[in-house]
Amino acid sequence: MRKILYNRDEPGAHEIKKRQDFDLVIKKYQENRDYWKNPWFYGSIGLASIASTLLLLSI
Amino acid sequence: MSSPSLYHQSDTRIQSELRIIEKSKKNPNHFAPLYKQYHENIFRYIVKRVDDVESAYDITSNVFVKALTNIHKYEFRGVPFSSWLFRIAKSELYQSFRDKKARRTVSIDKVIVADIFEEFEESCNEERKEKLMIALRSINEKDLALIELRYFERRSYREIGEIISVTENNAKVKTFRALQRLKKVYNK
Repeated sequence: MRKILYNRDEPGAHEIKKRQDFDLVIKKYQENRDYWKNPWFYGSIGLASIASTLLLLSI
Repeated sequence: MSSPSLYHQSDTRIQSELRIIEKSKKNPNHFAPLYKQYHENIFRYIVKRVDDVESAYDITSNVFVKALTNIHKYEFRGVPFSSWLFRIAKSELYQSFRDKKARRTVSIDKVIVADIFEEFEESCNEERKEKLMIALRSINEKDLALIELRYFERRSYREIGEIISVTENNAKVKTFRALQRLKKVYNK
């Protein structure tokens, strides 16, 4: 169910500005972009391929 | 507090943004001025719709990551860059509700309540205010989103149209119908 907040205190412009973190945005962007360079990515694809092959052979 | 309109931009500003976007497609670090310019507006759009301020900061950050990831797809076709960002914000927001990372919240204040009752052509009292809160909990998500954009944040129909991907006239019709449905639920 939706929550209704009445006369809520929101952070001010100064506080919001203090929380700006463009370096974090760039870091997350690079992590997203480079996920295929991660060995785990190939590891999971490899494992899935082996499992599928074994499954097909066993049928 | 209503969100400042980002819609009415001069040609010079639009051209300057387009130059930054083109440079950002080659090097994401060039995106910094757009991040600084729109961070507060995107954050305010999100924080009004989630119950936790920290989640709002996280979702805002994800909006800009998504924008950078997809910036190569952005082409100027009369739609301001800010509207493109708001579309991403809307999508990230609903994703966070689906992932249960944030709870759907409606932020309302006495000025908004007074405006809504003016639209209803009724005076406001505690009992009616309580009835309005119940109605806001009950209406469908699409209607609520339109009412928030128009009556809570005072955005123009043109801007609403850009955010929800419909024409200005269609946005006006849809918003009017959404308000009628809210009134109907309120009067039940």
